[in-house]
Amino acid sequence: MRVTQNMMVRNAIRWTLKQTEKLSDISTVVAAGKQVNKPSDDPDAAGQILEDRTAISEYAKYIANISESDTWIDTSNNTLESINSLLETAQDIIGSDDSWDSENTASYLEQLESIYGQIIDLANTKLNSTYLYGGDNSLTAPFADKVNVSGGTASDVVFALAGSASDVTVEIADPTGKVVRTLTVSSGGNEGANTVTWDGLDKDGNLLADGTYDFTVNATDSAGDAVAAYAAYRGDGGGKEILIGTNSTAILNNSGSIFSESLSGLRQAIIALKNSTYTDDLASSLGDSIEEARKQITAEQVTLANVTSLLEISDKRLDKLTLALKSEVSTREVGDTEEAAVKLEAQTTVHEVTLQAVSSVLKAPKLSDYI
Amino acid sequence: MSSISSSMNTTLSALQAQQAAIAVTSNNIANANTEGYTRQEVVISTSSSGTTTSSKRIYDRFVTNQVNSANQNLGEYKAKSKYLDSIEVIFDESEGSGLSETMSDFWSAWQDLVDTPSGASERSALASAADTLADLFNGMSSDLGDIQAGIDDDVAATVDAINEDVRQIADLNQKIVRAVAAGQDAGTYQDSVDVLVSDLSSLVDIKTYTSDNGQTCIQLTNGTPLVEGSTGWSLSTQTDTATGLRDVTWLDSQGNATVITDTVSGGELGGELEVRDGDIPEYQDRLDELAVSVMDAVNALHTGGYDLNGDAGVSFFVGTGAADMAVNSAILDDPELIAAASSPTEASGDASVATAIAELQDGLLLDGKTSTFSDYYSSLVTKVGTAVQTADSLYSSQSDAVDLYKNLRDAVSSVSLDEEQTKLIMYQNAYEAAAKVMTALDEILKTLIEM
Repeated sequence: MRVTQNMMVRNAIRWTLKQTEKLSDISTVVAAGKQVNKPSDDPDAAGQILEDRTAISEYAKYIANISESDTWIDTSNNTLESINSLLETAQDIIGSDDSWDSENTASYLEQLESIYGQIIDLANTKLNSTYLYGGDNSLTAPFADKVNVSGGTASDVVFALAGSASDVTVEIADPTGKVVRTLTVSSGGNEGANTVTWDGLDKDGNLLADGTYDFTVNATDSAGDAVAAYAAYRGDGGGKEILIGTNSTAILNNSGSIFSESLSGLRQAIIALKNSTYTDDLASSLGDSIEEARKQITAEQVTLANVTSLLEISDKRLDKLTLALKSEVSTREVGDTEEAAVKLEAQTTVHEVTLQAVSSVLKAPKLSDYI
Repeated sequence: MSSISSSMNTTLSALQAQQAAIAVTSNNIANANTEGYTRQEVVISTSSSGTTTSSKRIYDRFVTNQVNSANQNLGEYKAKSKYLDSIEVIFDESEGSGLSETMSDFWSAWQDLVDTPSGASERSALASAADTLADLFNGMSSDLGDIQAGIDDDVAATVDAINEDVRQIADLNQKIVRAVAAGQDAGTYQDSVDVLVSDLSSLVDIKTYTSDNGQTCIQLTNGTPLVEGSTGWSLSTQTDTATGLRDVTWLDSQGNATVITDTVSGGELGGELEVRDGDIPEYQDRLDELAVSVMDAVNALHTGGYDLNGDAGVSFFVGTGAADMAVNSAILDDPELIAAASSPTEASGDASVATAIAELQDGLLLDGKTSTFSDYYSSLVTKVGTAVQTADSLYSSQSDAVDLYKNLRDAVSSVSLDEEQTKLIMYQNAYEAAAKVMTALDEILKTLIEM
């Protein structure tokens, strides 16, 4: 073939450009530390990396959900433990038969009263401004003998009774403790939760100012015996749920209705010990019903422990999956850095040799040199 | 027996012939680096009065056509590679800041709401994550649109360039006919036509043939004439009202336009149209489908839920596609309108709707219920990557092919300096020899006169 200067120069330019391009590609890989720097570098790997990355961030979110629920579970655990030990203290007080004389009764009753109050406070535990045991009504205190007047409208008075009652009165007191209205519920009350409507008026028929009012319930049955009234559960049956995996959720705790039995038992004990003579039989029957209530709390603690171990298992599983995916992404994306370095070395040599070839083409002797 | 004067005439013709040959050689050397120059070779032949010279172009029609047809593909791949490279940037997810990650953030924000359904900060974080997602969809769609509009402008520019080449070829065709008729050398004109045809073939797919009188005639591959003899036809563009993009038209001698957009398949114009009308609308469609699926799926659940005030959920997203996707402005103004709960009475603590929406990220909602949003988007990125990879590698291999064909052409037609140098010395020697003959004849004549 007839070879002209044009062709040699064209070839020389093509070689140089090609080798320079290759050198640039390989040095990009080495410098960026990644084989796949844009989708066209390896379209399939790029797509796969993207999917893996999405999965990794999804898992990371589940792991975060689990770790955030730690606080929730710790708080729940503390709450349940405190309630359990408070109930135990109550049992001890009720069971200490030697000391129930006229001198001590008042102080014992006061202690039981205080335990009742503490359990209500614990059941109303808040975390991140929501009530732990309110079910889905997370912005309303689940247990409170309180009624609101807002914009001239009063909310319903909700309370619970340990048994059915024929006479029920509700005393509503303003924040200073002054009774402003006494409602007599003509229909009496049933065992469990009762709702009474209130018009928000005081005993003189004046609309009360907006605010929260405490109320006290007094109930007696047809025999004239006092019926224990306690704070009704005002939440609902919803539980706290978190996402811990693809289409998989964990329920962190049940609704606050688990505390109703404890409150009822305590209230009954207070009323019974206030109105009856202390006997061992009475003490043991009151102690038994509190024991029943404690079982419910213990059961919830067990449930919570199960959830905790489920979360731990999920957490470990997600960690392993994440690790596997990360190493997959790194294999696809980063590749073998040593291999890339070796390739760069080789390409540098090829590039040098090419440039030498080009320079010898350009410096090739011409006929005119010899004429 | 020949006379001295006839010998002198013969020697004169030799001197003239070598001079003419040197002129051709020097012209070759002068044009050694001229693009498209076809070398000329001196043909010295004997005649009754000594020698005569003529020159001929060393030219191979076949390899020239090869170069031109390879050029058409090169132009097409070059254009495709150029535009797809810039499209790829839109889908560049390597920094981890693209649509994929933004979508993950959006779903995560729903999960945060599941954790704290009544949380004001979780709600505004979700609204802003959704807003970012919508903005990104808008941005990608408008970036694609910008590239499409840019290509559309390039189409007009390419059509102008085609028209300019066509006009010059038609002019040169006329000059060739005149030169041939006047018995002049039309080589320079032929070379110019070749360069123009080569340029034209990189712009659009054409076929050429040479008429008997040496004129180059050009048609588009669909048979539409561009140059016939000294007549040239123009292309033009007109805006298609449906797409808002330019259609390529062919103007007949009365100036009537025929739309030929669909029949152009090669050259830069072909590449431009392919990306503008094929690749970009496809990516737009896929992006739209993704945006619409996200919007529809979220809205369907959201409107079935209840917001923090216990009111039924409004549409979370509004819009008809990636371009105009937006978060309902009411929600941006008041994130309490985000409907996380499944019943109006549990509005503060229930997160069933938020949970269901958060779980959409794993739902098989696309590609006939076989792909998640993430799968769908990943396959779009793979698709774009593959298109870019293919275009780049075709461009690169076609560049090699064109160089190869150009070398084949140059093997025949380009100037070799060594070759010309050799010939120059050959002609110089012949000239010296002839001059010596002339001196000898002059002395012989003197001797004769002095006798």
